[in-house]
Amino acid sequence: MERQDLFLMNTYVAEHTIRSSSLTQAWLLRLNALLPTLRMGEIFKVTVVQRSVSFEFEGWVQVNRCSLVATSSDLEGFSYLVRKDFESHTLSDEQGFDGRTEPALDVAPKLFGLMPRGAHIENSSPLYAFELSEKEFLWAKNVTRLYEEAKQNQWSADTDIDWAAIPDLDPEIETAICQVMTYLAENEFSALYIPGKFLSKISPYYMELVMFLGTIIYDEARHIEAFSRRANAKKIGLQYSTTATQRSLYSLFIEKDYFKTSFLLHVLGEGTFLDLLDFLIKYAPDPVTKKIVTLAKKDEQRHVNYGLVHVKALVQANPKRIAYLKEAVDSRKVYLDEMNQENELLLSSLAILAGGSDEDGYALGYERVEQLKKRMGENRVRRMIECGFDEETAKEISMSHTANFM
Amino acid sequence: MASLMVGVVAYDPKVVLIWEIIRDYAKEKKFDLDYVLFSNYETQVQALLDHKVDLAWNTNVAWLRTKKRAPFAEALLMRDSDVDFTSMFIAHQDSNIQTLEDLKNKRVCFGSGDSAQAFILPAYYLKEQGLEPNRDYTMNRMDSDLGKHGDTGRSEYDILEKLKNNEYDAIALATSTWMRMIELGLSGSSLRPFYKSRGYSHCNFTNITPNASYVNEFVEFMLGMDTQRSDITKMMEMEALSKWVITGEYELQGYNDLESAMKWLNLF
Repeated sequence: MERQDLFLMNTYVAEHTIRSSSLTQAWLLRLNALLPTLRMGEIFKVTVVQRSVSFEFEGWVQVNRCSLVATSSDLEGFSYLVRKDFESHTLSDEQGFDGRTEPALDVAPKLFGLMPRGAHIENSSPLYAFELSEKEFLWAKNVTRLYEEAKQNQWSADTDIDWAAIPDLDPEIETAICQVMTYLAENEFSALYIPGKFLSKISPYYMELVMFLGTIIYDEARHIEAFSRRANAKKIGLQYSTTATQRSLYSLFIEKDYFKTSFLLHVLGEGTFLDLLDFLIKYAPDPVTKKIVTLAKKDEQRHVNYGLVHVKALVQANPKRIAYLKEAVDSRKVYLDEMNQENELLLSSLAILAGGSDEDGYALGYERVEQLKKRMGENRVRRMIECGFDEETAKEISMSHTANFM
Repeated sequence: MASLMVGVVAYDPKVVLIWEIIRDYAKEKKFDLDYVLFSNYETQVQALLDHKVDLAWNTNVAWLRTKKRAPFAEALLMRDSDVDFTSMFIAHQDSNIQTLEDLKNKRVCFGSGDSAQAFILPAYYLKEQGLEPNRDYTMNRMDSDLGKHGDTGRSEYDILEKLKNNEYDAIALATSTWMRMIELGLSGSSLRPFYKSRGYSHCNFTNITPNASYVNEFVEFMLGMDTQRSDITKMMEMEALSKWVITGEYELQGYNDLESAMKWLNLF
């Protein structure tokens, strides 16, 4: 083909005219930045108006491993057609995040950096060793919707809670509230740290999940803030952290498997918490505390919903996984059985809130806490059955679940 | 069987990173390859001649010196960026120096005496134009990092400073170095290249043992590198290539000017 024809036909995909008398730093940046946007074999046109730039431009072409396919001079100046001779990016053919499209691949691409799905990655990017890169073990089909819900249901401990409206309560009641708040905040730390622990291991290819876990972490931060502030709102302040609770949270914290953790935390732990929060909504002595707990429960429900759908899909795909989850609960139980599992300070405080501090009231409160534990057990079984567990196994697992609730 | 030993000159710390990647990749491909670092090309060439290494990653100057002493020496492979390598002459824009001939009676400064790109070839281009050093122009040199054959580029940065200070009227350097200087904002607004050389060949992997069994294996291994892998592309970016190419007729002819230049300067 005549070289002139190459110019006449639209063979080139980009065009620049260099008017300066030398290849400036700015032009060098512009040309260097053009290369990564081109595919191998694509041609671009550069016209230099002043002949003095030719040496430098031709030098740039050589140094940057491109080749000259044609040259031509006209009134405008001296023109080059340059071909890029190497590939610099791996192009993603996947649609990026738009809130509707799910990630298509069952395993995240190996070459995938801290970037949104759909971005084109440079071939020489470092290989992150994201341990969690299989969709099956991460994904839940409701995760994008839950992320949307999380955004819509944000609340603030500053503006949504009327701290000044907390009444002066009987000191024994206030102390019970403070103990319960201390316990709740401890557990919320666990629910913040655990997703945080796994977050950095998940391939950003499954960005919806990463973003949703981000909302969980912020939800828990807000809960920690609100529960702590409620405890400190009056004179009494934060109360006791117990070995029983810490041992329970520790046994969850050290679990290395994401699937097991998802089950233990979201389905069993936070699931059980829903019943506890319901109990507090019912028996909290003042409307401000009720509101805090109500708002927190709404957030926790989202976390449970992720766990339910996530675990259900995995169990449906392979029912043998139930044994795997049961093993996690059992081995945790072996550790927990070494010492008293119950946080008696918490249970006693719940009894005072539910009945009162005098003898009869406390006895009634005690009964109500016993009923709560029963209800927690029944609901755990119900949630597991929803996930595809058989009733017998679900009951066994529920019995072995930590007496600390989370 | 002993590993195939490749001699490499450590002109920069990144040389280790580059060759660790190549060695790891070779291990993965069950190709028994290792490398030895040398502090300069003269020692490396001697080691190759003494068969202490099987192959050497040589500059063009080292390649020609090897060939001179080992008649069966062959250049196997090079980077695509080693083909049609070029040099430039740079002067002040307002100096009325437009061509090589304009350097008559001027002060010219070159880079290191063993750098093909910053001294040997540019001086030869002047000779081709009838300009003899220290008769038709004043020849000066900055011999930095001798033994590295200009790989470090340091002499080119040194002479750039001299040119900026008007100690000389023109300097010679590699086009790739000039691009780097522009990028770093060192090129200065008053300096211009007024000459770009024709292309010549730069580095190659040199073998001196005829019919060695490892040659084909090595060439195939290098050409077969998976350029989709991020470790390989990283190595290639560090080593400034996008692919390895076989040293063919065209590439070999790219050493002819340098051979004549080295004879003229008594560099063999």
